[in-house]
Amino acid sequence: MPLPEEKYLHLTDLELLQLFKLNGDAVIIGLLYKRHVSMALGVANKYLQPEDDAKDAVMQVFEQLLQNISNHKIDNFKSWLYSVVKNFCLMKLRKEKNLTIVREEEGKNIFSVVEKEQLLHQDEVKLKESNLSNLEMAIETLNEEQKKCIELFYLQQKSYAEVVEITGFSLNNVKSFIQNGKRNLKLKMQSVYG
Amino acid sequence: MDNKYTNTDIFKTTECPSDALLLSYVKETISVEDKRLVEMHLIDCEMCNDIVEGYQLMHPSKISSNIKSIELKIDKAVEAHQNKKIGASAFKWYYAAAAILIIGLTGILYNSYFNSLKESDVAIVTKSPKIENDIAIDTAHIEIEETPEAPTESNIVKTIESTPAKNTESIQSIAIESNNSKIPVQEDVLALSESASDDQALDIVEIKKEEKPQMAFDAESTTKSLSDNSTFGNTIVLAPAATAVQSNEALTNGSAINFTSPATNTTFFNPTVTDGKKASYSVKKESAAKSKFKSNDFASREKNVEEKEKKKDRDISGNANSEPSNVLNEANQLLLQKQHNEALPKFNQYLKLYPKNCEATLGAAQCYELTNQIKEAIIYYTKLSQLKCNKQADSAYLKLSALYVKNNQPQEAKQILQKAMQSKYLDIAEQAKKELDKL
Repeated sequence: MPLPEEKYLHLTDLELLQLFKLNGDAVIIGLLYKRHVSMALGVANKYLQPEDDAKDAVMQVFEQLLQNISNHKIDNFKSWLYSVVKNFCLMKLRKEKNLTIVREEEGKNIFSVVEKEQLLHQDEVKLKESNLSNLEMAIETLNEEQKKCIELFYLQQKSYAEVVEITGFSLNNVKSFIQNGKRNLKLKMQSVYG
Repeated sequence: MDNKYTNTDIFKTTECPSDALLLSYVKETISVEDKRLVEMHLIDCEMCNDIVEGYQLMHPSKISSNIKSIELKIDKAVEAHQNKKIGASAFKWYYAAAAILIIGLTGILYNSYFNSLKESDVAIVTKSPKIENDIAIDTAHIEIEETPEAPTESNIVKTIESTPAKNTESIQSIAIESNNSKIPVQEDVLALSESASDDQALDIVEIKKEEKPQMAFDAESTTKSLSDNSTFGNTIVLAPAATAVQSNEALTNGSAINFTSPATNTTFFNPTVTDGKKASYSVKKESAAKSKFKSNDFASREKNVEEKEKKKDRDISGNANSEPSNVLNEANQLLLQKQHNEALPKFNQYLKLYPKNCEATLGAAQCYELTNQIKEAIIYYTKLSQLKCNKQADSAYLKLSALYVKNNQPQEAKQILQKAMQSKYLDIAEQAKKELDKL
């Protein structure tokens, strides 16, 4: 006799959500959450320390899911769950630090905030291949740190660790220079060559 | 133009790697190609970047164990949630069943309770105090109407005492209905109770005073108003007695005994002795107006009751629509006018309604006496003495002794004087007895 979870293993995240809304079986939500619990733990552990706080946060989010998940329209469960966990951790940090200024939307249900932030991951600028010729000119407009990290990471296909080793920057600085350099390149390509 | 960036995928978007791949990336158990792909994705994906950074903050060996421990907690939470849901539904059914059971039992108990009640009980319980008074009025009517004989004051008093509603308003209603007059409540109750029986009257009045302060105040004030009304005693009660004063009865030996104003406690006993010398004894008039209910003097309370009885009779007399009152008033007027033969039937008519009325009994006795119907006078004075009409009864002893002497019954006269000597007319009785012994 199969375990209760096994009969749902072949279903996608959205199918499980739809099924849960039909029968309200908590096993479905448990199964869905366990699919992404490593993500939730990683995100929570980034914002909350020590590890026990992160684990507690993961379980608290799950308790809220059991109660409220039926009330939300979810297109991408993993992205939605990421935003839920992140906002939960940020709200908890603000409470612990007694921050008095909290954004109004953050004081409400974390799920309402999540639905707005689902679009973050989808906000990608797609450039045409034809614009690549203009990329070299745009890179020349970046500052030296960003330009150096961009060339090492993209042109020479170095890893983060290798860029850190070559440039002497910290890992976070390398990431930051690469991310900021890439964003500036997008803006430059859209404004000048777009 | 040869562009060195042509073959790069700097702006190429990639899908998020699996959590396992990210975990392998952190644990550095990933291939160079996959590492390159992951790192290129991390530049554009905030979510995966946060996951990786969170993993990197944990010891690589603890990441998997932490995930497993959380998965176990999730299973427990799911199980607890399911049990709670099942328990909650069972809990609701349990309370629903209990509520239905309680409602059903309550309905059965109420039904059986009201079925067990008498109709009158249900009416009293469910009616407001005002309606309850109306019920008391009806009860009083029924009691009076069902009495085979003419309604007597004692019957009414019994009705009052047996009426469940003991508050002032209910008594007021009964009194008003029973007498068909607008006499103030407390006065009426007191008058009724006193005219029925002095002992009962005292008991009732005392109960009013002790149980309810307001009632006690009313009774006291009523008593005071009655006592202060000196005119009442002189005009209504004393007048017939005063006529008796004028009729000095000659004793067989020539002595005369005058009995005056027994109703007002003013007694003049003027025995005319054989030597012709008359000794007058005057008893100090006791002011009824100063008597109070709070006094422990029993005689004083008796006087109050007597005065209230007179007040009641006066009130009745003052009501032109009340036939018995008119009868008594007319009888007294006739007695004052020395029309004894006309007054006597009216006194007797009134006594049919109120056989224990002291004033009517005294009036009838005087009528018999003054019309020289000695035996009948003796009977009515004897009755008066047995009515315990306070001062009237005590003076009745003296009158009786004189009548016995007049009727050639000296032994009976002496026995009556013995009783009179136990009253406050001791001096008078002793003097009369001495005179009688000399005969």
